[in-house]
Formats: sequence, structure tokens, C-alpha cells
Amino acid sequence: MRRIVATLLLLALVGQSAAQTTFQLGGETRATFGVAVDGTLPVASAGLTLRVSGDVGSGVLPDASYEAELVARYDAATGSADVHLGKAFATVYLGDTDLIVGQQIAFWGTTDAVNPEDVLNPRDLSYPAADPSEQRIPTPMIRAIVHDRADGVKLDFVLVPVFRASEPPAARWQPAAAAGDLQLPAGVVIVGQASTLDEVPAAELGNVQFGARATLDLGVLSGGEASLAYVHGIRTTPTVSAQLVPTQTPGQVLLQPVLSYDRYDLVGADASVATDWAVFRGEAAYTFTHDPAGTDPAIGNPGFQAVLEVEHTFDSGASGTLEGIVEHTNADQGQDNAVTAVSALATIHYEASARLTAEAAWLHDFSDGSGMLRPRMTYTFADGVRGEADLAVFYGRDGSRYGAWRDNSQLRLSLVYAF
Amino acid sequence: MPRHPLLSFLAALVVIAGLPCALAQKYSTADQVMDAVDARPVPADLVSTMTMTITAKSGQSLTRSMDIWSAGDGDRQVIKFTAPADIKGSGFLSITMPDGATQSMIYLPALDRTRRIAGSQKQEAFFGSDFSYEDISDLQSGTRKDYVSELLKVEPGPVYVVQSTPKAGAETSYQKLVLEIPEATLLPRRIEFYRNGALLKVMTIGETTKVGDYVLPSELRMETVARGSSTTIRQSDFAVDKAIPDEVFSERFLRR
Repeated sequence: MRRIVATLLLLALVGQSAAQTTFQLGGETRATFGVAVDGTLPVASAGLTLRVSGDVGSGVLPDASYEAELVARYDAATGSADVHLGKAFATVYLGDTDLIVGQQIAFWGTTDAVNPEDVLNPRDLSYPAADPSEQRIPTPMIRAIVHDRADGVKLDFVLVPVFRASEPPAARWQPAAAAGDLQLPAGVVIVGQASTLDEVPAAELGNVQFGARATLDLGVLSGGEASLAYVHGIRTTPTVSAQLVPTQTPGQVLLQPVLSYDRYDLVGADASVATDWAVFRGEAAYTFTHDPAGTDPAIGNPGFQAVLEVEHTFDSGASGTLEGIVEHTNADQGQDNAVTAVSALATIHYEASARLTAEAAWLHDFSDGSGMLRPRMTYTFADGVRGEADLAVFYGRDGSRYGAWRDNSQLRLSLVYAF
Repeated sequence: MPRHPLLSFLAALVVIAGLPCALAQKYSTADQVMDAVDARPVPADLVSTMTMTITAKSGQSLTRSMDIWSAGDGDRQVIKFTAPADIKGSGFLSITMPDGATQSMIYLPALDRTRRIAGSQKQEAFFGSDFSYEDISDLQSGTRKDYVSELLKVEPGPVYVVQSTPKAGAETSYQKLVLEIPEATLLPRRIEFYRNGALLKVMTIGETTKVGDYVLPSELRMETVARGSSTTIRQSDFAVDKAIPDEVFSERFLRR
């Protein structure tokens, strides 16, 4: 009898909850085909994303919301296929606080394309030239956003319980392996390469990452805000070093690449101000690693990245941005190998009609004279159906930042249906 | 068949009797007309759904659906797209501050970020339509406070043809507007938008809906003259004076 009553109570609760829950199905199919200047086909993929989302509660301000995605993808060019969970999170609205739990993307920063503060999510770097916003990989997080509307303050707290590394660049984008500065003892020779040692941080309390960001509404001109951010984290892209592994034959060793993930503390600041003429954005971050003196080759050195951007819309309706980017990595102890790079990124965006959008981006690294050109066109065939043509052209001398990718210059064509 | 003389006389009488009514006008200056437009009852806040049909010169069209919340005579406005799927969840927030400056931002769910819009960006097309962000921001406003008006002529109806030019420092990209305002509704039925000395766009109000004491435009059509394209907005499911919570007009709600 008790079981029947309990079952009835449960059904009643489920029924009540279902009555207040909205439920929507959607998704996207995407087919992409690419050809590189060296005649290879870097991508020939088909993908499907299924999405369920909805609200819990009634009225214009629901009590909670949820979203979950299932992503399937097959690439005939590389033979890779996978099915995985994309975003999968729930948001509970508790007064002035949004509590978001689950696999999600948390973007911090204000500038376009280059975001020194955007470090919370790992990235899919298999195609390093992809739009940075499309590279973020949803990762499990607990996030609380506190809105104090009266004072114009927003506080954002993030906890990342389990580390996840970024997807490495595909083989054609990786630099050639080298022994680097390894000092070989006399009489010792490298006879081969051992399998890579990937020191992915384990799921343990000491590897929990966290961060906080405070944003203040400046209430100036046509709107503006400023933020301060702090992150205690682990770099999702590895620092690559190498070690020698002895073989059974004396004097012969194997070279073993080692992928280690640096612990760091990041302090960042960003601001944006809109005026009648333009929107100005700025973002900077300094990263402290656990090797401040630059003595351990397995740990990356501290450094900073800063971006200044201006965005303006011309009378023709086209809008453009211009960014200046400075990156600096401190030198190893006793070495003169500090790296400073100064780059500029210019973009233009024009909606020729409701269907046709043309964009172009030019990134140039003044430090080594290399760069990238990215013209892109999007055409909407019908509601939810669009085609994309995306050209990436790299230039620069051998060994330069983008010149190393000259042979990877490529055209990608996609057909996307969102439903 | 010859018309009966009495019928002809009665018809003439009706026409003559009607003439003074048609020619009589309540207002003799543009300020009087615009004051009357301002005095027209407007809801304290408004919720509605919109369907936007964007039609190219070739006749091909795209459709967008959205929900809109508006308060304070259009001074605060939120729009959230509900279809098609590739722009669903995108939103637009516009707030006119006490000093007259307008703060606008858009939310793009694909990027998971909000972007502020500068004054110069407000003339950009609103999600590919013939309406600009500026037009959309002003859509629910009862009148254009930033303009000086001049009565050009009075057409039969009477319909007042008023030219409005922006005051110095006004937040608008237009050089002048020419409005046709029927005395019967005091709701502009046609607005011409001029920039750089040329007629840029024409907006017409096709249909209106009476909700309580309010007459609200339910069909608006914006045509871009040079391009030959047009966008028609149909508003429905009106809900007025529902005391929309302040929280709705916030970045938080935009992302929600």
C-alpha cells in the first residue's frame, strides 16, 4: 500500500513538473568539403547535432532552463568518426543569481577573435585556422553569475572540477619534431622515438581549476563596462619537451616527446565603450606559471597578451574592426630567447542582401612578416539553409608563424541546415 | 438609362455637404499635429509577437519570427528571435537613458556573447532586413522626440504631410523624414526616410489593431528604394499594460 501511495505521489509530482516544462527539439546538419593548394583534401565531413532545450516554470521569467546536445561527425578525408555529448547543462535562476551546472561554454573577454582571458574551455585545434568561437569545447563546470542591477555589478564564478586538454592540431599543422636543445652525453646516440608521454592532470582535488570575474557597468556614452578576472588553472595546450629513454643497448636512447600542462594563475582586465562613432574594446592578461625564472623546460614561461580593438560602421553599411595584438613570453633563465610578437588584425563585414554576407579578415604578424588572409561568403538559400565558402591563405617565409602553413592554404565549402 | 433628377440632386447635396468636413482640419501647424500624435494614448508597456518577411527585388523571401517586449513609450525594448533555427535565441536590447543617449546591444548565442552597438552601427540592417537597428529601436515610440517638424501640406482626409529634421546632437542617421499623418488616427501611415539628400527608405503602416483604448500598428512595410527590397513586419498577440518586470530589460534576460 505504501508503495502504491508513493508511486501515485511521484506520478503527481512528475505530472505537475511536466505541465510547467517546455520542451524543444532542434539541431543542425553540416557537410563540409575542403581542398588545399597542395592538392590534398583536408576535410570531407558530414555532421549532425541534435539539441533539446527548454524552460521549467511559467511566465516570462522561468525558474530554470536546460539544454543538451548530441554531436555525431564523420570525416572521410581522415577516416575519423565520433559521437559525443556537446553542451549539456541546466541553469537555475535563484533571485539575482544564475547557477549553471553541466558541460558548458563560458566565454570571458570582450574583444573579437583574440581573447587573452578566454581560457576556461579547451579548444578543438584540429583546424587551427577555424573561427575561434567555433573551437571552444564544452567542458563540465559549475558556474554562478550574480547580477546586482542596482549597482551595475556582475560577478561570475567558475569551478572546473576535471581537466580536459584541447584537441591537438591535425598532423599537417604540426611543426616537424626536433630534438631541440637536448644535451646528449658523449657516446650516446638517438636511435628512434618513443611514444609520446602525455601527462594529462588526473581528476583530483589538486587539479580543480577556478576563476572569478567582476564586471562594472560604466554607464558612460552609449554604454560601456570594465572587468577584472582571475583564473587559477591548467593550460589546455601542452608545453612540449623531450626526454631520453634508455634502450637495452648501452649508448642508444629513444627520444620521447613529453606533453605537460602548466599550472598558471592568470590576471586579466578588459573594457569596452560604445560611442556615436565606434565601439572601443581592450583586453589584456598576464599569466604567471610555476616556473617564473624560466629554468624548467617542461613548464612554460610567464607572459602576457594584450589586444586593443576599434569597430566602426561605414556609411555603405559595411562594418570593420581593427585590432592591435601584443604577445610576450619571458625568456628562459640566462637566455636571450624572450618572444615578443606584434600583430594586427583587420576585418570587414558586409551584408550585401538578406541572403548574401561577405566577410574578410587579414592577420599580419609584424615580428616575422607572416600572416593569413580569410575571405568568406555566406549565402542563405532558404530559412535555416545556408552555404559557406571559406578561404584561408597563409603567407610568410619558411619557419615563420604562418609561413609554415603555406601549403595548408585551403578552400572549404559547407552546406548547413539548421532545424 | 438617365438618372432621376432627384437622385442627382441628393448626390450633389451629399458631396457638397461632405466637402467642408473633408477640408476642415483641426491643426494648422506641425507642432500641433505632432503634439496630437504625442497625446494619442499609448500603452505603458507592450508584449507582442512579430513575423518579419524579407523580400528581395527578385521576389524571393526569408522569414524571421520574434517576441518583443517594450515599455516607456519604446524607451526600453527587448526583441528575441524564435525562428528560423539558425538565428533562434539571438536578441536585441535597446534602452534610452534619462540623458537621451541610447544604449543598445545584441546577443548572439552562437558566440555566447553580447555586443554593444555604437551610434554608427545603428544604421546597419537589423538581422538582414530593410529595417535598421535605429528603425527597430524607434518602432514602438509614439513620436520622434529628436526632430523639428514643419507642415508641408494638408491632403484631403485631412492628412497632414509633415517634414521632420533632426535637432543638433540627435541620435539619428537620417537627414530628414517626411510623414503622412491622417487626422482620424494620428498614426503615421507613411514615412519617407532621407539620407545624403536622397530618399533611402519608405515605411508604410498597412493595418492597425485596436487593443483596449489603443490603436496599434499590426502591419508595417519598409522598402529600400534603391535596392528594391522590402520587409514586412506583422505584429500579433498584443498584450498591453501588463507591468513587465524591470528585469526583462536587461542583458541577463537577453541571454536567458
